[in-house]
Amino acid sequence: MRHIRPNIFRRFALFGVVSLLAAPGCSCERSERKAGEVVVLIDSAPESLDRRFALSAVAQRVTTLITPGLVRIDDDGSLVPDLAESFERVDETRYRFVLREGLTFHDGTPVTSRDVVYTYKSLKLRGSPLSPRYDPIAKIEPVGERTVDLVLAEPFAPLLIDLTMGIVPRHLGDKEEYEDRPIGAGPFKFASRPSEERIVLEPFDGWYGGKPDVDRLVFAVVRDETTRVLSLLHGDADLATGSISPILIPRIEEAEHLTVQRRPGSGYAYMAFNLRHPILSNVEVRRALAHAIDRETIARYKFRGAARPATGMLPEGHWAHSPARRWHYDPAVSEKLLDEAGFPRKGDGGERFRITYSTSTDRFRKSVALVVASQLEAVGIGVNLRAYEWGTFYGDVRRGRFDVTTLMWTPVVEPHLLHWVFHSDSIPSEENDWVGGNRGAFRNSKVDRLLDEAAENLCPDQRAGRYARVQEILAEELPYVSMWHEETVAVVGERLEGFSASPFGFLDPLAHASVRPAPGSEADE
Amino acid sequence: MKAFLARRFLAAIVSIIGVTLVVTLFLRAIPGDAVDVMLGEQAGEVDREALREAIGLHLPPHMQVWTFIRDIATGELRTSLPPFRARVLPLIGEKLPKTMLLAVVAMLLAIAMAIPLGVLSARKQGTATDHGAMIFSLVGVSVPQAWLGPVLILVFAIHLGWLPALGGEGARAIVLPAITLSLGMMAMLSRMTRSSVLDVNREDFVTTARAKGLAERTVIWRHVVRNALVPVITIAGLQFGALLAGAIVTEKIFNWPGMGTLLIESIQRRDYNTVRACVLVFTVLYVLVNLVTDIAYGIVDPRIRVRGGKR
Amino acid sequence: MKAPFDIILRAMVLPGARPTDDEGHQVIPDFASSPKHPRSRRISRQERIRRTLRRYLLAWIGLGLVTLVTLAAVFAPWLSPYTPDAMNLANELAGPSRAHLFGTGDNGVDVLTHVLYGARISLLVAMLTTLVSVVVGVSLGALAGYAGGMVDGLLMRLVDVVLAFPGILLAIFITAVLGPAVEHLILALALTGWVGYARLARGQVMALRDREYVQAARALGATPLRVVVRHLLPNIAGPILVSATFGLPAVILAEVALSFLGLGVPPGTPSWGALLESGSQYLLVAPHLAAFPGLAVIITVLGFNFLGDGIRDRLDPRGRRAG
Repeated sequence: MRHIRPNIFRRFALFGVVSLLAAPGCSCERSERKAGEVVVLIDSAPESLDRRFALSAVAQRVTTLITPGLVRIDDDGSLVPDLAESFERVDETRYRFVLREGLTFHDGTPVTSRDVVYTYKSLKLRGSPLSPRYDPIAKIEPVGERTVDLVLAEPFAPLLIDLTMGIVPRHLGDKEEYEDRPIGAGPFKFASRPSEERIVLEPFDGWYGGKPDVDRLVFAVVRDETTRVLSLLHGDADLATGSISPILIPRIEEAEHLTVQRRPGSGYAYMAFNLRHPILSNVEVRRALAHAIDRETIARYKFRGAARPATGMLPEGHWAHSPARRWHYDPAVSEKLLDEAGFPRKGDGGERFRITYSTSTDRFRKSVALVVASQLEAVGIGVNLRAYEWGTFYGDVRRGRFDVTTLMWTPVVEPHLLHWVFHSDSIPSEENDWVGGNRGAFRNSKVDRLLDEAAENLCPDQRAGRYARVQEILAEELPYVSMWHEETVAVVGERLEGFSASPFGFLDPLAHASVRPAPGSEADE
Repeated sequence: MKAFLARRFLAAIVSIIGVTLVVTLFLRAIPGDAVDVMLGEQAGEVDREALREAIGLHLPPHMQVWTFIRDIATGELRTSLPPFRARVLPLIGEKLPKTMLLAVVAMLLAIAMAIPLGVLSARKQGTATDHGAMIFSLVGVSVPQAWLGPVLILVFAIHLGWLPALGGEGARAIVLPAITLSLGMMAMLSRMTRSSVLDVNREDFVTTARAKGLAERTVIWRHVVRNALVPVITIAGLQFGALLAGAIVTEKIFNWPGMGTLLIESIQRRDYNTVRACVLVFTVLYVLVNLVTDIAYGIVDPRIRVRGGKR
Repeated sequence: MKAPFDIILRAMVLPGARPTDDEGHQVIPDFASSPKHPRSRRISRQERIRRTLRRYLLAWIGLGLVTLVTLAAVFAPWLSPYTPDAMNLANELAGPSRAHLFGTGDNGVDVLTHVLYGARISLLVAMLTTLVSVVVGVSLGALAGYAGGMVDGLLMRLVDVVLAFPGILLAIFITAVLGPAVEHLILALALTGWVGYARLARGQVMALRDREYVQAARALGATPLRVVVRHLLPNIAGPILVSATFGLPAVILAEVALSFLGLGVPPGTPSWGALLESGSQYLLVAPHLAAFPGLAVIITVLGFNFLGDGIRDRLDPRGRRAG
């Protein structure tokens, strides 16, 4: 004992020195990435790999690669056939879809019309939170092995957009383990999910578009933005879409091996008011707020130009877009409106009233919220900024637990979204199981009527007319203050060739991309 | 001695009970309706009721405490976020080892660095080396982790590209977080080591050893350092709990998926049940480690010097 | 939080760091100074002067740093080139320049301004927390020490319990529930901060209780309150002061940690912790952002520690004799 102990201490001391010296020394090896592997960074973990239960944007994007639907959305926002080779409107309430020939699921079984029928029926039977969207479907009938008819209860123009729902094999879809091992007919098949933070897909050689030219597709969940950017800069990842703050983009553009692809965005950022709030229910107050926010400046500097101030939900260039009243930044007018509405400043330069402004803890969103809050404070509106993690925040908003909030609708393709957001039937409540996007409880009978007509009215021109009127009214009544349309940004590494970012942030283009080994990556090994 | 141990043991138990009471009943003590505070004034009655039920506010106080303890013990405690109320314990089971790993590595690192530094400093007492080492340790306790961590990332991960910045997997990922977490403790322990070595150096048995003509090296390592380390290791043990608490900040800086991250995320999710479960787990660990160290020290200390002296 | 503030409080400063010390005697390990056994080592007169100078030099430096930070905090509105809420989106996260000596932060706020105002928050929280802790701790400690018996037993058990509790965690819990605000921060930190002072006061009072002058006062019919306030407290003020001087930087570090975690001050409030937080987020594009608030924290904490060392050496007769 006596002789050993001192040695231990000496070794101990040595260990201290060595461990410090050795630490940096042993760290020069590069990541052990295989040549044909593509790593895609996502900022949160998909809550489900079953397309029928995928609510978040990230889950829908990942699951769509595995389980595509009858149709998909093209880059210009139009619907094009996907698993269906064609579709047609037989009459006002009947649509006919014909599946591509020789389609198979990843397990080799053929895709038939019965799988389509099963998929849509299972939404309700299995209690998918998405199922209310399919309520307009009265029945769904297989007509032949490859043909299926959708019958609506009444004419409903906007339904098609929801037929992007992934087709699930009927012999597997009810199995408990389906969610962990999803199978579809998409370009990529599920390989493994080694942890919550990693999802591995492999190319499917039976895909109708031909086997994708990558060996493996790895989705890595990296919640921290700095880490995402570092991984890209270090060449540890090949793709990140839509989750990089504008301020970091110039830093990324400096790196030679990275390309930043920008797509004119139709993501619609807005400020929503809770019209149940005693003060915010006053339209003059809402107008005052609209005048108080300097959207031009925020779009120019916070977004570095990657956003355009918006006048309404639909972006310019959309078929149903119609220019509406623009609320210019004018704090003086704002103060005047507030004075007239009966909310004078208390004392000299004091506060008029206080509201709670909810936002998420996302770094960039919170930082923008601080700017907006300071602009509101400048006209005498006190703001309590409350930041919660995305899920909690979104849950609050969905159930109407907010005064004021800023949020974004993902790219708007189908103007029927206006119904979901501003129709009085869409006010979420306990009775309708909190389904509906009219979270601020906006009620306007004229808007209701116009939206109803637009949904039934099948001629695009007539629909556009109705929507134009709706947009006009909304811009006057201001249940939302339109903030801006945001660009979609993708950062692409040089190994990933032929990837052309989708303006909607979809990941479908991965099916057409290929990998080449980065020059110099072998030399490093 | 027995009385001392009994008192420590009792205090530990009472602390754990105390924390349990605080985390269960604190919501009742705050002014206003806790549910209002958490959900905001626009919340509907249904949501309020659901939350009340999830966190036990619908029960009388004693039942609330009892339910909480029972749910923790049976693993039935669930997150307070309707509608998907997952069990809390598996979450903690997954995160706790990661925090323990970080804290243990940080502590070993601190000890491994502090002891040589302290011994060196004591042996060169009064020299520039000594002053340098002691100023380093003074600075060491003054540096906030929230600054040190980012600086390390900047230098080693971003500029030099040697180490992964945040999160990540494998042995390399722990280097920067462990250094960040250990610096304060390292600084403190090196001062402790120095003064402890100086103290022991003056003891009679050391003088005797020197008088016997033993080589200085032998005297220092075999007699002085060995004895001097007892209080140092004890303090290190006592501070392990504090290191666990410090890990909360380190985990945030480095995106380390441990208890601290879970705690902060739960706070941001307003998941009150997970928050209090985390606080309770941290406390129990803290109390237990302290208790074990206390007992170990109590047993070892009274005799060690005597025996050392006889050699 | 760095060196979780218990580490510093308990191991460096406050009694109770060593488990065997039950009577609350200060067992400051007496770093950087003075052998406790004068006989064991002979120190030349020159050496002693040199060391005294060195020690007091550090203390003076400490005093200088503390004064500097305090002045910065008090005069922040006059010293700051901008107001803390002045944003300049066009000049976001820019490096130091003539217009912004410390650069700009998120949304283009002036970092220098925020560092100066941050000093206010940090010092305010530290001083108020320490004040509350000292008042509560010393009152209870003195009561326990003077009364002895049951009262003492109960209070000391309570102290044991609170000491066995990781203070920063309780602070996290409380600020998480109550929401970020300066008052909540002070409440949360003082709730565990008082025990150290209670232990110290109790030990000191017990040691002095039976001194002749105290007995004399009692014999002359002084009420217990009077005895404590007039005769005991003045004599224990020194150690309390030393303890508080070391306690302050610990509170500052705790406040920085909590604000860093987003639990300290409301979003948008200028504070060192919040600056460090955004600094750690924008490391890639604005490395200057974390640097300045970090230096401010280090300077302040180091200043208090140097000062505390000096005051302790000055007040502790044993230490002085030996040194």
